[in-house]
Amino acid sequence: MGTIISAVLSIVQQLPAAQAALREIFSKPDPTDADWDAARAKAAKTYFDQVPASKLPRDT
Amino acid sequence: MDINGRHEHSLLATNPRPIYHQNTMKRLYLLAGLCASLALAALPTTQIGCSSVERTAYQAVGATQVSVDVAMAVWNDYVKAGKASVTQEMQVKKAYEQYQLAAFIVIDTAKATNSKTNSAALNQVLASASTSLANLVTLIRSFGAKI
Repeated sequence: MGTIISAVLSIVQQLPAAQAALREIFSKPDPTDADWDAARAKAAKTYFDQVPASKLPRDT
Repeated sequence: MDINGRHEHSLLATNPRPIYHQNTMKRLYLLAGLCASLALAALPTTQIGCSSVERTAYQAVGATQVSVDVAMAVWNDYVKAGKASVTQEMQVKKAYEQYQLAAFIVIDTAKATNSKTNSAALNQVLASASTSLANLVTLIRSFGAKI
């Protein structure tokens, strides 16, 4: 487990943007209901939100 | 040398962020988020001394979401390039929706968790979300997208 965490840290340290995104997640104190609601909203993005280039019909 | 007679190094000089750089960055983001989410999901919350169960779950969900967003961005590029079949898209859509369902269960379980008595249940749903993420990434890679 320590090896995995060390590998993650070494990668993140080389990526300022990823470092910032993950730092925000990992620096929060105990999450509030609002934090969970925000997390749910992010997870609620549809396939078509994530893949605007999709050739699938939008009603699938 | 390109068609205009310029040497390759002059192209790099005028375009300091070549296309391969974007793809490499996406892969590194995905790797970082994937490792973080898998590491957190594999770490039983009962063994975490200074973090609450809820905080650990929140970190795992957040890191997993970063990984999923990067994986789906890579997949979008692959689809946009016309390399994905309809069948492949349907498979990825299904895998993505399975991840979403697992993420919703983690979030709902974590919101309802207010004591260590529920940490076992939370560990179980976190492991499920982590598996869904791994399945999604494996599927996308199996089609040839460069993650």
